[in-house]
Parts: sequence; structure tokens; C-alpha cells
Amino acid sequence: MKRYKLSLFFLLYSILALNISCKKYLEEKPDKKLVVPSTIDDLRSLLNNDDVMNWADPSSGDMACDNLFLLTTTWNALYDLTAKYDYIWDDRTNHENEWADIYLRVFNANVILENADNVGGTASEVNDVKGRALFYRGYTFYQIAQHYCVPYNEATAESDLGIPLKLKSDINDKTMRATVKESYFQMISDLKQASLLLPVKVTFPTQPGKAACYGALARCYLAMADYQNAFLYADSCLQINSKLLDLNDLNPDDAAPYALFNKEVILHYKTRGGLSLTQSRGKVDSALYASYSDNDLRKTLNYKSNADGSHSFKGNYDATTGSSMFSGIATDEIFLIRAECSARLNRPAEALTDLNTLLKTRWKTGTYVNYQLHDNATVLRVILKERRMELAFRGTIRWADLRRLNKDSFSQQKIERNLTGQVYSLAPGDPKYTFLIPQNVINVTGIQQNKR
Amino acid sequence: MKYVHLYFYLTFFLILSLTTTTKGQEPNTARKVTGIIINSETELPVIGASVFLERTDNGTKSDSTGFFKIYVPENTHRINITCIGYNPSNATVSGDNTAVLKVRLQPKISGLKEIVVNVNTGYQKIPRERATGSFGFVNNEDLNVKTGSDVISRIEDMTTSVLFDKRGGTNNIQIRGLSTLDNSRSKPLIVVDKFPFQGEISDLNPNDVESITVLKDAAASSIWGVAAGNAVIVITTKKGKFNQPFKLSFNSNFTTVNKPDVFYKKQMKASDFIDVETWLFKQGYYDTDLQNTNDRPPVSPVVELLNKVRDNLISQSDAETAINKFKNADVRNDYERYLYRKGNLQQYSLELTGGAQRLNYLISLGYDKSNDLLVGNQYERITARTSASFKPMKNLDIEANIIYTQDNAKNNSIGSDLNVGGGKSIYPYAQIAGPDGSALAIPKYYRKSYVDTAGGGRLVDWNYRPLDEMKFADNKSTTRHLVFSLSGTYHIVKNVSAEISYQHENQDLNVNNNLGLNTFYTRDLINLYTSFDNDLTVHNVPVQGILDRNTNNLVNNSIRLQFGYNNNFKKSSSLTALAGGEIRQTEVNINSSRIYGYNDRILSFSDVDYSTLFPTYDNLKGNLKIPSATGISSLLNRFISLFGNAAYTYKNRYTLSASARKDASNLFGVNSNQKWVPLWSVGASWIINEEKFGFLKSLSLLRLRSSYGTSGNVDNTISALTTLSYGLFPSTITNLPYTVVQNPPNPSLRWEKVKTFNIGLDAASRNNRVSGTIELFNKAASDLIDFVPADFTTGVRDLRINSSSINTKGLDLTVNAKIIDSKFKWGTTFLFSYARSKVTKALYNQNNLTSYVGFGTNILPLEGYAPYSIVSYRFGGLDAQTGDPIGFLGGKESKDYAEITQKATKEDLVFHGSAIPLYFGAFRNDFSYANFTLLVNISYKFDYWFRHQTINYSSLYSSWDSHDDYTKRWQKPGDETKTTVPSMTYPGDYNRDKFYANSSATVLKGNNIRIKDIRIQYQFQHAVIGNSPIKSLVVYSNVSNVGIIWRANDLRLDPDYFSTLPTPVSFTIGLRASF
Repeated sequence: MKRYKLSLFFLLYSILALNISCKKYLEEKPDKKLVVPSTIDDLRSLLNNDDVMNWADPSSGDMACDNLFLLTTTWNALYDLTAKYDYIWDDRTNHENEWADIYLRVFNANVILENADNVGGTASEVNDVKGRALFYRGYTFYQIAQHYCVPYNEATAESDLGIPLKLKSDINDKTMRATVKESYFQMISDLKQASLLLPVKVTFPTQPGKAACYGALARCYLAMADYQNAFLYADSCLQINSKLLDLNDLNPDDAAPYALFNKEVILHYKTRGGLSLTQSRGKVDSALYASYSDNDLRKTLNYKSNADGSHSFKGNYDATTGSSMFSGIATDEIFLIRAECSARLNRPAEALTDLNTLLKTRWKTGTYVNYQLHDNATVLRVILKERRMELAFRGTIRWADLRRLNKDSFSQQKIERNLTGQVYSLAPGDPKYTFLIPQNVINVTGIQQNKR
Repeated sequence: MKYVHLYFYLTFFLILSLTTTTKGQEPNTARKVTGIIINSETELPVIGASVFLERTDNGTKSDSTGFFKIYVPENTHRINITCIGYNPSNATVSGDNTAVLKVRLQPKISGLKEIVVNVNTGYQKIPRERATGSFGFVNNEDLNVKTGSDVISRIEDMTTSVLFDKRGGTNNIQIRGLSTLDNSRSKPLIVVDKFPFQGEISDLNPNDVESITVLKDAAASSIWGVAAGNAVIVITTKKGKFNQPFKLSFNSNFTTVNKPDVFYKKQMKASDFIDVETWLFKQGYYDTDLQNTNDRPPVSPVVELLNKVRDNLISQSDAETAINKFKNADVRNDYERYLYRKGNLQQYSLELTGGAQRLNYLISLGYDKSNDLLVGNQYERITARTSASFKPMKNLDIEANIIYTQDNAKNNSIGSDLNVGGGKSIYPYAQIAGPDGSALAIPKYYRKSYVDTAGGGRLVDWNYRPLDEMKFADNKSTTRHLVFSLSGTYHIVKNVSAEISYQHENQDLNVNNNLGLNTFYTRDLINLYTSFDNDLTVHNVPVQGILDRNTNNLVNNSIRLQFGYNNNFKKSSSLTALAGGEIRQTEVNINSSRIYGYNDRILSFSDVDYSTLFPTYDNLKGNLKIPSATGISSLLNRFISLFGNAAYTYKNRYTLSASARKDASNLFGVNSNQKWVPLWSVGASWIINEEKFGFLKSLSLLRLRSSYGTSGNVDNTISALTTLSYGLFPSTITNLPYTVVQNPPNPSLRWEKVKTFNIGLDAASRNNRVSGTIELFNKAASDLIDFVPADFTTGVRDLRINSSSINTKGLDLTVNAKIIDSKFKWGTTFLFSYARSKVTKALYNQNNLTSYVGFGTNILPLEGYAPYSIVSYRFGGLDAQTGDPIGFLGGKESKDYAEITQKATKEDLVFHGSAIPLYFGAFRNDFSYANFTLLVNISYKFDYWFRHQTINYSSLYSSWDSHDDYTKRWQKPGDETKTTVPSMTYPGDYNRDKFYANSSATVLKGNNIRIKDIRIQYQFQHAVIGNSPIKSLVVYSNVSNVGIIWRANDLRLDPDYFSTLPTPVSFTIGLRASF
């Protein structure tokens, strides 16, 4: 009997001991690479994921705009339906991946914003992380708005359907569309807050600093046709960085003449790319190419000739030759924004100073003759033409410009595609300037689809 | 690793020395008595009869020739001889006897009751007649029907419920349908002796396995708790026995495997392919590639020639001559000649056993060597195993087992087919060898005309020659795997015992891929990172070899403490119970590294700059960093379990059993109290024939049993909290560590649950000529983790939560019959399994039915259908005017393929049924006459569907994926009556091709019957062996994968291999001898 008791005791003891000790035993992580965001480094590492945070700007606008044309044979041979349909503005295109990737960036930003105050770190570290997250969110909302909601129109902005403004990482948070006004208000407020938190100097151009915030704000206000504010933020941006490359220093024989992170780059972003944008497929619009004069260095630096007499773009600030276009913020764009705003605000002399400063660096040394114009309307037209030439293949910019410039008759443009006999066209103000929200998102969320 | 060796040898010697010391304890006075046991009716030797010296535990068994040896003290003694199926007998012997004793055993009429088959659950051995659960038992004889190096595959067609799903070249085991929706979690738990085997089960030598038990229902498997949701396979290894003379046995065999039929792949004829290429060339299809001066994509030799004609570089007639030569080529000839060979396998195993009164031991050695069907792949395995039991004192049993395995593999094949990279497969007229067998180049990654001239002699050779790749490849891997277990059982009092068991497992995998300067991978990398600075050639990757090394170390420690209670009361009642706890930890550490500038001859290497973005040669790939291949990861799984079970048998007839278990794991991001999950089962059985009901006279066994219980499944990859996962490499541009969101928060995460009900009836006729088992089961799996429709706006594409349920109903039937039982014997075993799984709840994409269309190779849960289902677009024939396939949209005929492939509704689709057989089994016949035995195993699979491959024009154009259905395509009005293959269109309509390839026109019934194994065995008579030391000698021959004898489809396709080459037939000869 004694032995019975002994064994019973032993059994009970071991069960008890097991229960107590196992709690700690089971706390160990199953995979060391996994973390629950708990330190400032964890949050920073999420920001360092440039694949998500910097490299996935939309490309659908680039594929739908008038920079490039495709030969019928090339279009026929395309096996990617998104590229194929975006080219002719066919709604059968599929933007699910583009949508998911860009909203993943918003999700990451929200995870950071929700955790930043609870992970320790010094005040400046927390501010930096928060500021970056706010910038990414605001900037991303801007990019989404340029593709998936109607162009900003002050008169109707309060009733026009905007984009879903995701401000929480909670996956159960219901997706709803804000108005256009709210959408722009949110991006501006995010970017302004970010500009207060972020430093002037950054380690890598993939990280936003104050200049990037100002540049992005200038873009937002330009899209809203608020030229006063656009001017102010462009100006603030150039106060921090107004360096311009002298294109005479670059070698036109290089396959990718512009260096990565060249001195004009304030913030490095790029688009996801698409098959129709590769050098071997997309041919530069003939009128665009013809608009460069022979002394204009961009003609040889940015373009290369093909055997069939057509041209391909190679002036990517990303220093690559693929289909992902640099879509970040560079000083040349900000010069052009400031110039345009000056003209819009009826200050032609100021506008021309900026334009001439920029263009002098784009031409062969000694060949550039300053624009000497006085009529404000002409100045504006010249600036828009030069903007078209300078920023032709900057990711997402041309599409955004087409959308905003189509409102004024003097800057309107109709795009046409010709595929052996079949002509497709996109008239100014066509609802197809706003892409459809992917069908699976509509199915799951029930949000309203864009007009057709 | 040093230590592993050390303690293996140490223990080995320990056991050896124990063996020799205890041998000395044998009484000097004992003499050896030899005898033979003979069936009194057939005069044939009786194998495996137990021979015991009366009132001692000194015993032995008759060997495969009926002979036995026993040590008997000088005086006269009685020996008792018992054997299953025979009446017990006895004989008188004396130590002085020198003559061979002859004992005749009378075969018994009633049989089954005497068969004490113990089923091993890994925690305890239960006599089969007391088991309430469902066990599948594969004995040693059945395991030896198949040959080969792998253990698990030997249970195929040997027991019910176990289905081997071989589609797509995999070998997934499904036991009684599916109980989880994730393919990676649907594997059964594999236990060796007492603990789950964490390493590669292929490291276990089949010759070391005594038997395999499959635990199918809850009563059988719930003792394994949360890991038992997919059933459990328990492998019992061979052990030594007490009081056994020293015995040496040897088994060896040679297998040759035929080359697979490479022409099974229905690729297009070269001439057809060239016609298509020529036509596409005229359409300007290749212009983009031909004018591409960025990444220089590969084009085929014919397109290259056509381009030269267009550029007036060669004449039309020269090109035609060259192209005509291609028209007769077929790359499959080269596959057959150069990529494949006849495979072979040599297997040797040696086993020593013996036992004294207090110690027994078993030592085995095995060596396997195989040359794979793919030229360049080789495998070699050395196994050593020792098992020893020791009774140092009256109440204590100690058992120690060591298994040590070393595998050496060479992986120098370039694969089963070729591809040129960049998303392209291979053109059918590719040639990899010249008429003299010399290595020819084919394009790889880039256009061949470009690499031929690139660099003007300043680059290393940039051509890809498949034959040279095989010649220069030097990829080796070595696995060292040690399993050490020690257990001690102490009988505290008469009915109570305590057992402590410990197992340590250590598996070390080392992969060494020496990518010499001759290999394309290395040469390509060197060239890509070459730049010219005027006359200077800058090599950022050194012009030497590359050495890639990976190590994967798995360490598993398990410890279990268990108390047992066993009491036999009066009135033939008994109570057995056990309770205990267990802790298990598996740690896996994976490291990979790369050395550049490696020279194998002098072991030199160089440092490279990993952080700079270098411009690639000619800007082929923009700016790139040198790939570093450094990787570190560390995984850890911990389990704690408490378990207990009890069974009470009343009057030897009524048994009631119950078991309970609680599991906890280090599931990430869950509060620890939520990690615990309780699981339980109950069962009952009634041996009806013990009731002496008059109407049961003709039966020797009739037993009814039933059970119900729960088990589970766990997914450690998802978490309840937002988790970030650190990237394998730092960010390309900034060189900073970065994370991705691994999983969004999911606070309601829990373990998957499986509830199983089982009812079974076992019966045997009075003379035991016919026996069988029938079982019905119902398995309800709920809380299954599965995808739910994700709102991409949340930033999450793949959302997995506990959301789905599956129900599986089924039936298992086994019938054994001795049809002829005289000098000539014919026995047959019929196995029949039915398992129908149905998704009862799922949230994913239920509204978008087109997402379920496909090949049925992935689990796509659609409510009301099998998890692996074949769903098709309804095919309405071909358009008589254009040859366009006709589909349906909203019930009406339609050719709007984009809409059909996105919005087809139920009426526009065909739901064929399950993609895995609902009915399957085997029909085995054993014939024997005198010393000859012949076994034929036929397996069958019914009620399932598969989709055959066909021509897809878009991928023919873009990826060169060709299919011979091209010749059957619609070409002119009228063809629509003869064929279902649509006309060829240009530009390729991706949706049209997708529609046809996934339409009901390409689905076939899978039903088939095939001869799996044929085995012939001859056992030499003792007279033949004579007085040689050989005690028994058996020669055998085996043919596996003999072939399909009937199939439902007319295309002569093997439904198990619709996308890969069928496993070819193999022949084995071997012999088994014991001394």
C-alpha cells in the first residue's frame, strides 16, 4: 500500500510540476524571424521594406497615358491582359494586385502609427517613425486618388466619391469611400503632420524628410488647383534642396545615364511596372520625341533609337532599364511646379526665371537661349509644354497631369490608339480617366463602383 | 557531429560488452538440442512455433525451415510447443540428446481467438481482441511484399483506408479522407516505437521494421491528441527476445527500374512547332524579342534563322535546309538517351539477434545504394541499429535503442526536362548532343546569337550545354541521423508500473554544391558582373567557382513519464489504465552560405563586395548587387501533453474504454491558457460469440465495437497577433534589415478539431477459412483554418481564420479467405475502402465559382463538394464556322470567354466530382505449392476524375508549352464533328485558351485497375541445404508497378500521373538466409 501511495504522490507531483513550468516553456517563439512589433527597431524595419513602401506605385496610369504607343504586332503579342487592356482603356483590365500592393503600404503605415507610442524609443526616434508612416500614408492616398477617384473639382469635391481612407490596421474595419474633399484633406493633413515630425536630412533618399513632405504637398495642392499653396510648398521644398544636374556631365552612350540617387532626387519611389512599358515594346510618342531640339541633351540622354526608326525611353532616374519608372520627387519637378504656379498666379517673370534655371542645365553648354516672354498665358503654355518634355516618363505624373489639365480647354488633349484599323480614343473628361475599383473589392466590401 | 559518433560507438560497445558478459552466465551444463517442427497434415515445416522448456522462460521459435535450437540442462525435461493455428504439443528431451527431434503439430480448426496480435499505439500494446478502436495492422510478411529503401510506401495496398495521392509527382498519404484544408498539414503523424519521428522517415531501413499499425479512429489515435487529426502510423521496429540462441540473418536484393516513357509527354511534333513559329514570325510576334537590346531574351534557332533571312544575312534556301533538319528532331529522344538511364538499387542487410535470461539484443546493419533514373543522381544509405533489453533486477526492465543512418546523395541531374529560362520551356527540336555525343549548346536566359559574340572574347564562355552541366555538376548532400532512446520500466507493485522514456533525435543535413567555373550558373554570374573600363576588364565576381553550403540541423528531445495499471480480476474481468505526461521539443536550425572565388583544388576563395550595386554587363539586368545566399533561421516547436486512458473488460466479452489528453504548444501569440486543448475518446466492444448463442455456432469470432472521440490539428504558422517576419536578406538599396507583415491580428485563432465516430464488426468462420472486418465511420472536422475572402483594401490578400468544416463518411472492408487449403493453397485478401469527404462549411469565394475550376490538384473548398474537386466550364462543342469553343454564360451559349472565366454560374459549369478516388483498395492472391509461393497484388481506384493536358495557344506562343492535341485542332468546317480541340487563333486569346483547357471536354474518368506487385518466392528444403551452416534460405523475385490492366479513359493516360511521367516497372531479385 505504501508503494501505491508513493506512486500516486509521484504522479500528482509530476503533473503539478509540469503545469507550473510549462507556462514559461511555451512562451518561446516558434520561429526566430517572427516578431510581434514591440520595439522601435521592429517598426523601423517595417518602414525599411522598400519593396512595399517605395517600389509599388501604380503603373496603370503610365500604361494608359500618351507617352508611348505600341505597334499592333506588339499589342497582339502581349500576353499580360492588364497591360493589353490598360492600353486601350478596356474595363476588362485587372488591377487587383496594384490595389492590394498600394493598400498594403497604407496597412503598414497604420500598424506603425498604432504601435509607435508603445514600443519605447526616444522622442526623436518615435517622431521619426511616426513622421515617416504619416508621409507614406498621405503620399499613398495621393497616388490612389490620381487613379481611382475622379479628378479634384472644387465645386463638386464634397459630393464626388473619393477613395477608401484606411486609417486603422484592423482588418475588420469596414471599407467605405470618403468624398474627394475628405480624401485630399486626409492626405494633406498626414503630410503636414509628417513635415512637422521629420528631419531635414535623411540617410537614404528612400526615406522622406521635410523636403519630401513639402514636395508631396505641392503635388497635392497642384492636383487641387490650389496654386497659392502649391507655390508655397514647392518654394519651401526648394529652400531645402534646389540642386540640379548639369546634363552635360552625363554620357548619352550609357544604357542608363542617370545615376541612382542623383542629386535632384528628394525622395526615391518607383512604379510597379508593366509589360507595355518595357523598352522593347513601348515606343515613344513621335510628337513628343520631335519636340526636343537637337541641342537639347535630353534627346540623346533620355531616348535611344530603335532599328525601325522609333525611339525608346532610357532616362529613368531609377538608373534601370526596366519598366518600373521613377515616380518619386525630384527638384526638376518642383522647379516646374513653382514655375507653373507663378504663371497661374500671374507672375510671369518669376515663372520664367525658374523655367530658364532648369532648362539651362538640360541643353548643351552655351546653346540655351532664355525664354523672354511677357504674355502670362503664353508663359503658362510654354511651362506646360516644357513640363511635358521634362517629366514625360516620370511615373504617374503624366496621367495625373492629363486628368487635371483636361479641365481647361487650352490644355485639353484627346488620346488615340490605332491598332490596325481599330481606333480607340479617350476624350477629355472621359469617365475612363478614373479606373474601376477591382471587382473583388467591390464584391467583398459592397462599396460603390466608379461611374462609366 | 563528433559527439554523435562518439556516443553511438560508446553505446554500441556497451551493448556488445553486455552481450558477451551475460553470455557467460549461461549454465555450463546446458546442451544444445535441435529439432524440427512439422505440420502433421502437410508434412511441411511449421515456421514461428514457440518452443519452451517447461516451467522456465527459456524458449525459442522455429525458423523459416521449421528448425529450432534450445539449450536444455542435462536432465530430462519437457518442452512445450505452441503455434498459432495449431494445437499445442509437447515432447520430452534430455540434454544428452544428439539426434534431431521431430515434432508434429496438428493444425487447429478454430483460429482467430488464439491469435494474439498486439496493436501498438506508441503508448501501449493492446491485445487486438480488447481494442475498441480501429487499427490497421501490416505484419512483417506484408511489409516484405514490396522492396525498396522506403518503409512507408510498403503499406500501400496492404491495409484499408490508406490512400497514396501521387498526382503531380507527390506522395501524399491520406487516411480516411481529409480532415484539414491545408495540404501541408494533411500528413498523418508517424511514430517509431514510442515517439514521433521528426527527421526524414526515409532514413529508416525497412529491414529493421517488424510491423506497422495504422491508428484510424479516435479511440485508437486520441492518445496522440492534437497531432492525430490525420491519423497515426506507428512503426514498430524489430527487437531481440530473451532466451534465444544467437542468430545471424542476411537479406540482399537487386532491383532494376526501367527508363520511364518520355514519350508519355504529348509534345508537338517539331515540324508542327516550326510551322507555328514560321507563321508567328510573319505576324511580327517575335519582333519585340528580336529587337530587344536590353535583356536579350532567348529566341529559338528557327526564329533566329528566319530573322537572318529577313535581314538578308543568309539565303532563303540555306535557311530552309537548316530548318528541314530541325523538323526531324525530337528533344525527347535526347531526354531518353542522355537525361535518363535504367535505375538500380542494391540492398544488403545483416541482422544479429540473441538473448539470454536477462538480456537480449539485436544488431543490424544495412547498406543501400541506388542510381536514380535521372543521370547524375545517386543515393547511398548506411544504417546501423542496435536494440537491447536488460533486466538488471527483478522488477526493472531497461531498453535501449540506437538508430544511426548516414545518407550520401549526389544531385547532379539537370532535371527531367529542359527549359531555356525567362518563362520559356523548350522547343521540341532542341538537340543537346551532336552525332558524336559531344555537348551542344541551347539558349539559356539570353539569345544565343548574343552570347556567342558578347564581349568580343573578353568574357568567359556564356553558352549553356546541358550535357556539360551534368558532367561538371558537383552537388552533394550528406545526412547523418541519430535516434537514441532509453526507457526503464519499474514494476512498483504487482499491478502498477512506472515507465520513463527518453528519446533524442539529431539529424544533420549538409548540402555542398560546388558550382565550378565550368557550370553555367557560375559563368553567367561572372559575365553579368563584368564591366569594361577601356582595355581593363573588371570582374566583380571572381573568375573562379562558387561553393554553396547549407546545413539543416534538427534536434528533437522527448521525455515521457507514464504509469500503468493492469489487473485481472476474477470472473475474467480486467482493468488496464495508464496515465502520464510528455514534453517534446523540436529545434531546427538552418544556415546557408556562399563562397565566391572558390577553387576546389587549392581551397582558395575571395571576398566580394556584397553591398555595392554594380552595373550588369551591357545593362542586361540593370544594376544589381552580388547575390550573397547567406541565410539563417531557427525554428522551435514545443509540446506538453498530459494523457491517460483506461479499459475495463467484463467477462472477457464486454470492454469499455476511455481516453483523454490535453495538449499545449508554443503557438505564437496566443495566451498560454488558450494554448491548452483537451481531447478525449470513448469506446466499447462486445465479443458476441462468447455469449454462446446457438446461431453463432458457425463462427469462431463475432465482435462488435464502436468508438467516438476528438483529435486535432495545429498550424504553427499563423498567429493571433500582428506578426512581422524579418526578410531573409537586407534591403537591396539601403542594406537595412526589413520586415514584412506575416500575419494580420486574429484574436479568435484556435486549434482545428476532428470528431470521429467509428463502428466495426469483426467476424471469422469456425474453421477460420473466411474472416473479415467491416467498419463504418464518420469524421467531422471543424474550425478548420482556411482562406476567407479578403478585402484587398485592408492590405491583406490572404486571410486565414478558423472558418471551415469538412465531413467524411466512409466504409472499410477487409475479407480474408482461404479458397483452397491443401497441398496447393490459394488465399486471398480483399481490401475495400470508401471515403467521401465533403466541405460542409467554407467562406472562401463561394460566390465566385470560376475560382474552383481547375485541375483538382489544390484543395478548393466549395460547400457541398469534395475538397479536391474537378470543376469545369461547360463545353458546348465547337463553332462550325470558326472552330471557337462554345461555353455558357447565364445558361446561354456564349463565346465571351473573359466573362465566362470570371462570372460563370452554377449552370455554366460542370461539377464532375472528386479528384481523388472515393473507392479504392486491393485484391491480393497468394498461391503456394510445396516451397513455391506466388503473390499477385492488384489495386483499384474508382469514382474520380482527372483533367488531361491539352494545347493552350497563348502559352504555346509565349512559353513554348506545346501539346500534340494541336494535330487534332479544328481547321475547317466539318472538323467540329470529329474534334473538341479549338482552332488556332492569333493574337492568342488567353481566356479562350483557358476556357478550353479547363472545360468539360478535357476531363476524363480516373477509374483504373492495375497490377501493383508480383512476387515469387522459393524456400529451399532443409535437405538441399544439408549440413551447411545455413539454416534457411529463401530466394525471391519481385515485379513492381507492373502496369494498368484496365482504365476508363481511351487516351491511355495514367490518372495518377497526368502531368508527370508514370513510375516505370521495376524488377527485383533477392535472397534471404539465416545462420
